[in-house]
Amino acid sequence: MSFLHPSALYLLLAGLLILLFHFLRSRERQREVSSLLLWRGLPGDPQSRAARLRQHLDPLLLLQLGILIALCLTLAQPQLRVTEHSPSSLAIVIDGSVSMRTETNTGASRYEAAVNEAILLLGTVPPEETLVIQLTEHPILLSTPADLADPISALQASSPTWYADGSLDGLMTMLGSAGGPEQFDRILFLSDRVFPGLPANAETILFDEGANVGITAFAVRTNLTSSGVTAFVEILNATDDYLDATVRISDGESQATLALMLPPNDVDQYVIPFPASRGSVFSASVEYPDDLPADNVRHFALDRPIDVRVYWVGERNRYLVAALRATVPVTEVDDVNDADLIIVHRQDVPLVEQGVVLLVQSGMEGVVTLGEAHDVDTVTAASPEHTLLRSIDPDDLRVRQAFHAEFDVPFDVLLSADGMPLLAEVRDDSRRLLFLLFDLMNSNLPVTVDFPLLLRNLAYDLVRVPAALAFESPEVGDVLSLRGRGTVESVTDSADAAVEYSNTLLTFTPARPGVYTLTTDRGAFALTVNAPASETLLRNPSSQRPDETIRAESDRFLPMWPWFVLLAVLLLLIEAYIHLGIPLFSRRST
Amino acid sequence: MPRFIDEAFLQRLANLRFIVKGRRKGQLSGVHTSPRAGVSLEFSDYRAYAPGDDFRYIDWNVYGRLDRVLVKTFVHEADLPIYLLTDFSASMDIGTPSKAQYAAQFAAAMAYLGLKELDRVGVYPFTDRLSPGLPPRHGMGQMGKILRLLRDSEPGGHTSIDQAITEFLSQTRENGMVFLISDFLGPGGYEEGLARLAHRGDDVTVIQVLDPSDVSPVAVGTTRMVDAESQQRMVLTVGHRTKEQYEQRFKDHQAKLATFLLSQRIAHFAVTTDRSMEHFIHRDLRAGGLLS
Repeated sequence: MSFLHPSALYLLLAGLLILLFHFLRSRERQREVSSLLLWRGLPGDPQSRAARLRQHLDPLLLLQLGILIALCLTLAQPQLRVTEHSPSSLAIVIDGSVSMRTETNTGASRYEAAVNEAILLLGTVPPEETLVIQLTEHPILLSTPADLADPISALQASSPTWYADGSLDGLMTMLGSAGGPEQFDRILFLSDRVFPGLPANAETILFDEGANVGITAFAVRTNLTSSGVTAFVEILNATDDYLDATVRISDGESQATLALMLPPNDVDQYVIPFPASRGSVFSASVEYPDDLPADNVRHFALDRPIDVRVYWVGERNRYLVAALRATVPVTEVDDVNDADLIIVHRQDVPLVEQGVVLLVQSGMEGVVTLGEAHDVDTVTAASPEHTLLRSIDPDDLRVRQAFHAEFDVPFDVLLSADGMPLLAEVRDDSRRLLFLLFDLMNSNLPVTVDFPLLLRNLAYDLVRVPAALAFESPEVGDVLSLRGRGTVESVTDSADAAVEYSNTLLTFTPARPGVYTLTTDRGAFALTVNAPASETLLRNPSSQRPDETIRAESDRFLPMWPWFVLLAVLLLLIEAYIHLGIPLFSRRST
Repeated sequence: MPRFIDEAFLQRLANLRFIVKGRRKGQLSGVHTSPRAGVSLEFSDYRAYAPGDDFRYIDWNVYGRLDRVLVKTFVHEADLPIYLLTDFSASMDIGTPSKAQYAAQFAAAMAYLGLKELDRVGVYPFTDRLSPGLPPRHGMGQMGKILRLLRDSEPGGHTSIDQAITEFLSQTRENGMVFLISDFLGPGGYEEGLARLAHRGDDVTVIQVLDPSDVSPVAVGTTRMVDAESQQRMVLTVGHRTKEQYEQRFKDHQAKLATFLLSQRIAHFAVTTDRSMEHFIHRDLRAGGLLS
């Protein structure tokens, strides 16, 4: 027999107190009577041996000690290990997601408790018949039957990740590569959640102890009409109690706090004004001593748009300049090689081999030649789904005349009127050329909202300027794009250590939450990464809890505490019976 | 102390009234017949007219037939002073509910019955001395005072029924109906006092309130018994034999008390605190001819 909480046995020392009180107490019962008048002179009964024995061995004392022992054993949670049938092959799937970092009542994390449980089970199966998988959204094979490595060592060396829960499909794929789930006599899930649709030979051991309060969403928006920002926080209280907690929003220099009463087992959203903030990288923290601190902090960075470097060619058009400045920050450069965008207005230019060029009423040598203007009437979208036409309504556009254009290269028509292209794109690997084939001032485009929209789409799509008001909240495991912020030089984590990223795809996958720094030729950009919000879980409802009898098919741990509770109750009843003066043993009168 | 009387209990007492032996002298009109002629509906006798008599009571028929002026006299319905002497010595503090609580509840019930019948009711708690108590008054205002007095009386001290009755007789001149409520288990005597009380002409009723353990103690083995009043101690092994001996002594004690009370024509009712007060009043007291 083993104990889950052997420290509870120290409570047995309270028996000394019971003994002390017993011996300090008067050995004789004392009873107040109305008068001794009728008692005086009575000889009294001779004490029987049993009575004398009872006087020294008070049954109440024995019962009290028995009750104490039973209660201590109950608290120590004894369990009897019964080894029955051992499976010949075993697959252990241990949940390695963030929520398994939750601390349990014993002080160990759920993951550590799961590892201990797995090690107990692995002791009954030969290593060559076991498969151990750490299941997250990026599952890892810790040990396979082909490995000579000890699965117990692999388990002990493992640790919970910062990833979200894995999917059953991914797991089945991995099991399939190891011969399929049916190859194993038993697949054991050690997790804090119940996976629906498990195979018939799968069982779940739940490790969902621990109280958790966590932030499940956090975003910050710049105030449009006043200074500072406004923070939006969503908090989950996965406990059964109302909690007093404080939420703190910090930008590194100043902070805003809000005291909250969190309702039990509920998610609530809060709006927290932060007018004093001048920062762009924020953290929200809920100050409550729960068992999973990992989700108590969440980060958010306001994405800083980079200036679009524009090189102008030809006559300036103030409507074009105004519309461009209204959509993106613009810096004019003198060197065409430094430009993100070349704008050509009413001028034919030589061939441009690379870059992004907007040509308004302009021709380009070797690409397009503009001819005579022709009257046109109705504007239609030739490619309405094109990203450059996002939010633009062609019905609002009025164009009086369009130039005949002679293309020397393949091109796409985006807008047209009466069969004549108005907006056309030439696109290849090294360049993107956008042609406005009509006189701006001979149309209503400069005074409609579609004009800045068109330029914004151009800037964001062609030049790939990052959104100024991005509300994405990347989480660990997400693939983050590093594009749109200039030429990437490095990515570093919160500790300023370099992080590997894909040079070709210009992406990186963060493995830990925190504030990362992307350094490009255009400056430094903060990239915030958070623990997966899906890991801030409500406790499994009792209806989902697996039957305890399922888990112990091969190595059964019989909980003994209910028997000790029964014993304590029985002893308590006997004590009450005796205390009420009802004799336990009937005596024959003499 | 818990509430003495609740509303339902009072309602069930409403139909009861005291049966008084013989005619009582009283000062004020009540519902008990008095040897004094008075004003009521029940004709008593004729007498010759005397100056000052009320003309309305002249029997004009008799005058017509006999030519004599006679005035009718009626049975005077006198009120009855009821004295409730309640023992609040330490021995009455035994049991759950304590004998004192039971006695107080009983006294309150009797007071209600008396006041309801327009009698004057007085209460005198006693131990070895008589407390000032409440002299007999009528009216339901007296009920509140009685309840307060009974509620505020705490058991304590020795019992001396003789001494208490002596003081009672010296404080009250008018005889009436006396309830003496005690456990009669004290070492002090009671014979002299009760005899003097009966001699004065009071209609005395003894209510002996006992704890079940007074009647039949539990055989619990060696016990240090403490006298509630004197705090004297005595160690005794109480087995079944001793229990039986005690019960025999108790019967003898009761028989002696009953014999004496019978000799003094004093009604005696013994009740244990585990008996329902309502049953005691409605069954025992009615069966005993105290109430109708």
